[in-house]
Amino acid sequence: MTRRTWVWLSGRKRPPSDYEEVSTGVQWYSDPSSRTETGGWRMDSTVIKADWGAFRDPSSVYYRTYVAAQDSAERQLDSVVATARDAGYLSAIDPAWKTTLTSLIGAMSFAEWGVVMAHQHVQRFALSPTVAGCAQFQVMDKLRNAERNLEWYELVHPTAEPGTLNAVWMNAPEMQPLRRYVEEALVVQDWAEIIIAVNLALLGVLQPFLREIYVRGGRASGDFVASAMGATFANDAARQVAWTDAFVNYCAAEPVNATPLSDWFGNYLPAAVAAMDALVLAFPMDGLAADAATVARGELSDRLDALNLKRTDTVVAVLAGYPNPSKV
Amino acid sequence: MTSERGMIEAAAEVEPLLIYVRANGASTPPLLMNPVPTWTVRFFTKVGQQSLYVQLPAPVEAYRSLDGARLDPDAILRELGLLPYEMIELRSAAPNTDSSRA
Amino acid sequence: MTTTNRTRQLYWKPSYVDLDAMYPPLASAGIHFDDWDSWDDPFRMNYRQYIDVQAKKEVGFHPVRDAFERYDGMQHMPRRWAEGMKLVFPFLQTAEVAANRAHSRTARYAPAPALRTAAFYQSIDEVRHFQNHLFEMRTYNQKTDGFDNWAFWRDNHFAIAPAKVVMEDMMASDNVFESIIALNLCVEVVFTNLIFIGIPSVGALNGDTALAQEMLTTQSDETRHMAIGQSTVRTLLRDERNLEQIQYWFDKWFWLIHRIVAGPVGMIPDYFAKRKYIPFQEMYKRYVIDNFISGMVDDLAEFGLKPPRHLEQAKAELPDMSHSMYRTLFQYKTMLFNRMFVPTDEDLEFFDNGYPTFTANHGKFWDDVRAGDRKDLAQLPMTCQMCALPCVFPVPEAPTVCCSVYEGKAFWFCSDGCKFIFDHEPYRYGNRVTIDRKLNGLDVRQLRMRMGLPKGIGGVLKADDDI
Repeated sequence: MTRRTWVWLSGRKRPPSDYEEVSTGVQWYSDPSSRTETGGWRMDSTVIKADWGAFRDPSSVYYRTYVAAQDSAERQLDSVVATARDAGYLSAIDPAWKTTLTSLIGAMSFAEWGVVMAHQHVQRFALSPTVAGCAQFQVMDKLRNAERNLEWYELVHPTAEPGTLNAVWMNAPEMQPLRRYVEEALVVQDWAEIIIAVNLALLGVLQPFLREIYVRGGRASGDFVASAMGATFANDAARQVAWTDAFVNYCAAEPVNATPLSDWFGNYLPAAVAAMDALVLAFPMDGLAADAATVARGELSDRLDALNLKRTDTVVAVLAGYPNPSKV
Repeated sequence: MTSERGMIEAAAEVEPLLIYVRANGASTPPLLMNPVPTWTVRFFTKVGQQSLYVQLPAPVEAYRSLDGARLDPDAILRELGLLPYEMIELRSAAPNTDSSRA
Repeated sequence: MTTTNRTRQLYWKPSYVDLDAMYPPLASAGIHFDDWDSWDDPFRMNYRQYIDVQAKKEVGFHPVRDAFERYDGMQHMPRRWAEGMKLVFPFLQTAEVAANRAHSRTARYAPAPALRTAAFYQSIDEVRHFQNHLFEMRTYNQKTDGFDNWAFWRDNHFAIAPAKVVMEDMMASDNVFESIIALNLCVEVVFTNLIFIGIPSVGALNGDTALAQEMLTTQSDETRHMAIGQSTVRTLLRDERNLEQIQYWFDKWFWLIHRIVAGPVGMIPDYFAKRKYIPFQEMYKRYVIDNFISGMVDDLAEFGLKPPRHLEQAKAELPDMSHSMYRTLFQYKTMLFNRMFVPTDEDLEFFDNGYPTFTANHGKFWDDVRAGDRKDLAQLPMTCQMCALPCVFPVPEAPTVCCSVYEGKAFWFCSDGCKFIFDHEPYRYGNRVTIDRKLNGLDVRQLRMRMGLPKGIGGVLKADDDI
C-alpha cells in the first residue's frame, strides 16, 4: 500500500524520501508577525529570486543520517589519532612538516571557524528551509574540521605557548589574504552571496588545496593522521560541493539571477585564489604546494563546466594560473 | 424611526463599521461585526445578539467597552465616534440575571 | 575521547573590517557587560562528544518509532488521542523551527564567544527536535487525516496562529538576550518539563509509546539548553543596570509562553487523554509552579529579579484554562482539521474531582450540548493581538478582555499580561492583523477554504467511535 505523505510531496511518481519529509515545509513566508530591525524572513534578504521551497540537498542529509554517518567517521579518526598518540609515533614526523602544520592545520582552524560563522548567518536568514539545512550541516562539518585541527596541533606541539595560533592567524604574512577574505565575508548580509563567496569561491579552491596538502604532504612527512584528516574532511566537503553546485544551478535557472551570481563569483574568486597562492609561496614543500594549487584550480574549473555560471575573463585567467590581479 | 428593512437597504450604500460585539454571560466569544453606520444602537443590539446566538433577558443595554459608557438606544452608530475595532458589550438590565452584572 | 572545547580560542577581533560590522551592537543593545570575552559557557560541549551522545540517542529512539508504526501501535490508542496530537504537534514543531533559526543568530551574533559556541549546539538540537516531531506526525499520518497539510494550517489556520506568531516574534528579536530569556528560560526551564515529561506520561497511558519515547529523548537535550538560560540570566544580573530589561523580558515571555502552552497543551491530559493521569492544573503546579517558581525564581531573587509579573493571574486561571480552550474549539468544530467530541460521563467525573469550580463554570455549556445544542459558531472569535488565542479566558462568559488604542485603532487583548506587553512595545506589535480581522466577512464555507479544510476533515467523534 502506498504510504501517505504531506500534501506538497504527494501526487508524484517517486515517493518522497525521509529527508524530504522532515526537511521541507519548515519555513513560512507570510506577513511579519512583528516589526523589528532583524525581522523574520524577508524576501529582500537576498537579491536572488527563486522558488525557495523546492530546493533539495543532493546528499539528502538530515539530522539522523548526519549524526550516524559522522559518528562512524569520528570513530575511525579517533582510532587513527589514538594509534599515533599511543604508539609514540609523533616524534617520527618530519620536523619541517611539523612547522608547516602550525599554519596549515593549526591556524587554519580560524579560517574554518570563520566559515562556520558565515554559515550561521546563512542558516538563520536563508529563505529556503532546505538551504538552511545544508548550511546547518556544513556548520557542523566545519566545526569538526576546526576542532580536529586544533586537537592534532596540540598533540604535535604539546609545549606550544598559548596564543601561538592566534598570533599566526593575526600576523603571519601568509595568512593575511585569507583572514581578510574571511572577515570581509563575515560582514556580507546577502546570504546567497555568502554561499558564493565562501563555498564556491573560497572553499572551491582552498578545500581541494588543503586536501592535497594534508593527504600527500602528510604521507610524505610520515604524518598519517594528517592524511586521514585530509581524506575524511574531503568526504565532508563532497557534500558541501554537491549542495553548493545544486544551489548555483537552482538559482541560475532563473535568468534574472545570472548577473548577480556571475558578478559575485567574478568578484570573489581572484581574492580566494590569491589567499591560496600566499600559502603556496610561504610553504613550497618541494613543489607539493604548487601542485596542490594546480589541482585545486583544475577541480574548480571542472566544477564550473557543469555550472550554469558565466565566467569572466579574469576568472578564466586566474583559474588557468595566470597572474592574479588580486595579488597584493 | 427607520424600519428594519430600511436599515438593511441602507447597508448597500454605506461603508460598514468594524465593531466587536459581546454579550455578558454568554459563552460566545466576542465577534467582529460589520454594522451599517446608519443603524441605531437598538438595531445593533438586536443583530448583535443574533450573531452571538444569544437572547438576553429584556431589556438589553449596550455599553461602549472603551469607557464603559451606556449607549443611547436611539443613537446612530456613525455618530458615536467609535474607533475601528472598538467593542460594544450587551448586557441585560433585567433584575437578578447573571448577565446584568458587569 | 576528548571533552575539551577548543574552539573557544578561535574567536578573534577583526582588523580588516570594523568590529561593529562583524558583531553589530544591535544584538545586545542596552545590555551591560564588562568583558564579553570572559563570559563562561557552562556546558563546554565539543563536536566529538556531541556526535557520540546524540548518535546513541537517535539509535534509542527511531527503532521504537519504527516498531510502533510497523505493528500499528495506533490501533491500541483511543481515537481521541490522535485528534489532540493534530493540534499539538504542529504547535510544537513550529516552535522548534523558530528556536533553531533563533539560535543560529545567537551563534553568529551574540557578543560573548562562549555563548556563541553554546548556541551552535542548541541550534542543531532544535533541528533534531523538529525533525523527530515530523517523524511522529508522519506515523500518525499513515492512519488518520488532519496531519498531511500541517504547513498550510500553520500558516493559515487560527488554531496554530499562536505558536507561529509568538515564536516568529521571538526569532525576530533584535537582542539575542531577549531570545535567550524567551527560549532558554521561559520555554525551556519553565515549561518543557510540563510538555516533554508530563505529556509523555499521559501518552504512554493511552498507548502512544512512540510519542513517549520521542518526547523523553527530546527532553534529554533540554538540560543543556536550560543551563544556557540559567547561566545567562545569572551572569547578566550581576550588573544591576540590566535588571530592568531582564525583568521586563522575563515578565513578557513568561506570560506569552504560559499563554500559548497552557491552553493548547492543557487540553491533552484533560480532554484528549481518555485514560487520565492527573488533572492539567496539577501537572502545571508540579512542573511549573513547584519546580520553577519555588526553585529558580527564589534563587534569582538575590539579584533583585521578581517572580513574573502576571504569575498570580496565571495561577488564578489554571482551574479553567483547558476547559475554556476545549469548549471554544468545540464551538469551532466545523472549522478545524481535527475532530472534537462531547466529554463522556467519565470525563466529567474526572473534571468534577480535579476541578472544584468545573460544574459552576462549564457545566451548563455541556448540559446544553448534551441536550442537543451544537453550539456551532460561524465566525472566527476575537483573537488576542499579542498571543493570537481566542479571548475566552479565564471563562468565555466573563473573559478578561482589555483594550489599547494605537494609531487610531482599538487593539484587544485576552488579558492584562498581553496588554502590558503591547503597551510597552506598540510599534513592534501594532502591525499585526489578527486572523479574525483578516478573514472578516467570510462565511463558513469560505473560511474553511481559506484555512485549507477539505470536505470530510474535522467534525466530531461520536460516543461509539471508541473515544
